Amino acid sequence: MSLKIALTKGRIEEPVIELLTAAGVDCEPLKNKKRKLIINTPDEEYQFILAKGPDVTTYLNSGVVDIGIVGSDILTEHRNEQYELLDLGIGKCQFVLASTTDFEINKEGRRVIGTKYPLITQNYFESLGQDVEVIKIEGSVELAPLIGLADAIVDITETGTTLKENNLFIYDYLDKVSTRFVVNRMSLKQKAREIYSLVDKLEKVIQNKELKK
Amino acid sequence: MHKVNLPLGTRDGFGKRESKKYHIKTEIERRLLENNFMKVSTPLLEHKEVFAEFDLKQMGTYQLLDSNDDSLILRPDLTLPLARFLATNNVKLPQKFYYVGERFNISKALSGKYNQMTQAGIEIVGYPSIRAELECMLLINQISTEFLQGKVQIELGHAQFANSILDVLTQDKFLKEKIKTELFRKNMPKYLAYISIFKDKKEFEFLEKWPRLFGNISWVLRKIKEYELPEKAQQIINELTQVTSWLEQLPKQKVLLDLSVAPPQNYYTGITFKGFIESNSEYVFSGGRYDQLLENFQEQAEPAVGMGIDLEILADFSTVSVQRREKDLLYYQPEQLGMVNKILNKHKFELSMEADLRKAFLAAHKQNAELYKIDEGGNLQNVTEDCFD
Repeated sequence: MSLKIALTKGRIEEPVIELLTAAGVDCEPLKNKKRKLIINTPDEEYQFILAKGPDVTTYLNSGVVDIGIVGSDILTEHRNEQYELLDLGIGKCQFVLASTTDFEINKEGRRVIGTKYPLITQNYFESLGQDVEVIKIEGSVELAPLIGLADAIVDITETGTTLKENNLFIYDYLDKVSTRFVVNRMSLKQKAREIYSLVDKLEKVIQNKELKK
Repeated sequence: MHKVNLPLGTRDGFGKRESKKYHIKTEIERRLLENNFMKVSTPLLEHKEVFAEFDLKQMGTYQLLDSNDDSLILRPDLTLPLARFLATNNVKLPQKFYYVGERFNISKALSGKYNQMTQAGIEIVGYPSIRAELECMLLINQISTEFLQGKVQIELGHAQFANSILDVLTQDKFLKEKIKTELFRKNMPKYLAYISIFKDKKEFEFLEKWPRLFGNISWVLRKIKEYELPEKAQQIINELTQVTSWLEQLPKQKVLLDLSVAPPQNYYTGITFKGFIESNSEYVFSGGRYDQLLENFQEQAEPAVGMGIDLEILADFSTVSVQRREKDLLYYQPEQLGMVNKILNKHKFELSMEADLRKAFLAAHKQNAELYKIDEGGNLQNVTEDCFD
């Protein structure tokens, strides 16, 4: 029985394939996937399913995949209940509070915050003892303070370039984000040997990478 | 037009699945009544305070107000209402109880999960003996054999194991809770960060391995021999080993051990057990010992063991086939109702609903049944095609 792995499409695909290859997984079909969404490795040991991050958590929770490779931002926002076995150390970025130069965090009144991550935003401001109004935005979050929709945004940033280019400044750093290797609870019970064998190989690859740095 | 869509997370029950669920429920109830379990039905609505043990916000519950502005809740669990029942009704203990009923949890919207579930369960109150746990696990085995082709695997754990290890390492309650939470959730990055402060202790090697100590019993026991455990932890291991050896006498029973599993609820105090099948990602059975629970409702604690049974999973995965009963049909004239009543006391007939004999015959033919009618003398007569010539 092959292990089903849901892999988040996009930015992290390439570094994940690199890690998996180094861990001995034949990723050739994954590299040449074209528009296919389900890809089997030649030895049939793994089946990859390409999906959007939040859907990876849905697949994991319903048990239709054994493993999910997804960012910790999405895991936190979606209150992940499955086992997070490994920090893959890729897709690193950080949550920040950003806004235009004239933003005053302690100004009187209730701040309006635009974000893709309402739960994380609310938790952050709660920890500061502040109540804010959160507006959920699906994309191009940077626009919110520029067009007057929100006072500030909570978003993830890798290098800060997009923020800078849009004249936004970072006012605070929140949690760090990276890509995680998550396993469905029941899958781990049933396929512990296969899953841990992959975890151990990946862990070695990650350690070696850290050492080289 | 009236609104036709159901509230989020609910569904109608009908047809094959509903008959299967009913059949399983009835069989389980029959078995328990035969073994002198007392049935207890508690209301769907309870005061919110009954569930003080739970983090209700996290759980997602339906709440409403009664005429006194008191917060009521659609019960998310059936054990706590039973504890409330025991504390207030002077029921003689020790005693074995069972319940079957609906419980409500608001799951994440649009996640494909349901908010109303039928749950059965037993609570064996007042018996400190391990026989209470064994009775539950025997029932798991019997239900597994009858409805799930013996495919249920039992996973044993112990609610005190984590404390028995951590108590020796630290007195910091907050840290202990954090470690336990991440251990149970198997959030390895966080777990490893918390245990790193014990890096120089001899127990550290065990701590590192701990999240992986689950699975096949002999494997886990072999692994655990490599470490020197605190006395209390070793006692728990011995107890679990003993129970396993008894369980393995049951037909087709696969038993697993998990030393890093969370107890089903935080009020558990002793051995815990869960039952699952490979094709599903939720537990079918879940239970254990909780000797302190009643103390929350009355002055005196009582030894107790309980187990919940998820009837929804049983209905979805049971291979038992509940067929439509094949019965012959009886066609009658309304003025023959008295005779019909007498006939039904002796014979098993389904009454034909058709208004004339020919239609009744065709309907019977369609469902492969024989059709009978009552003749002028009050006798049963088999209706054959010839009758219409």
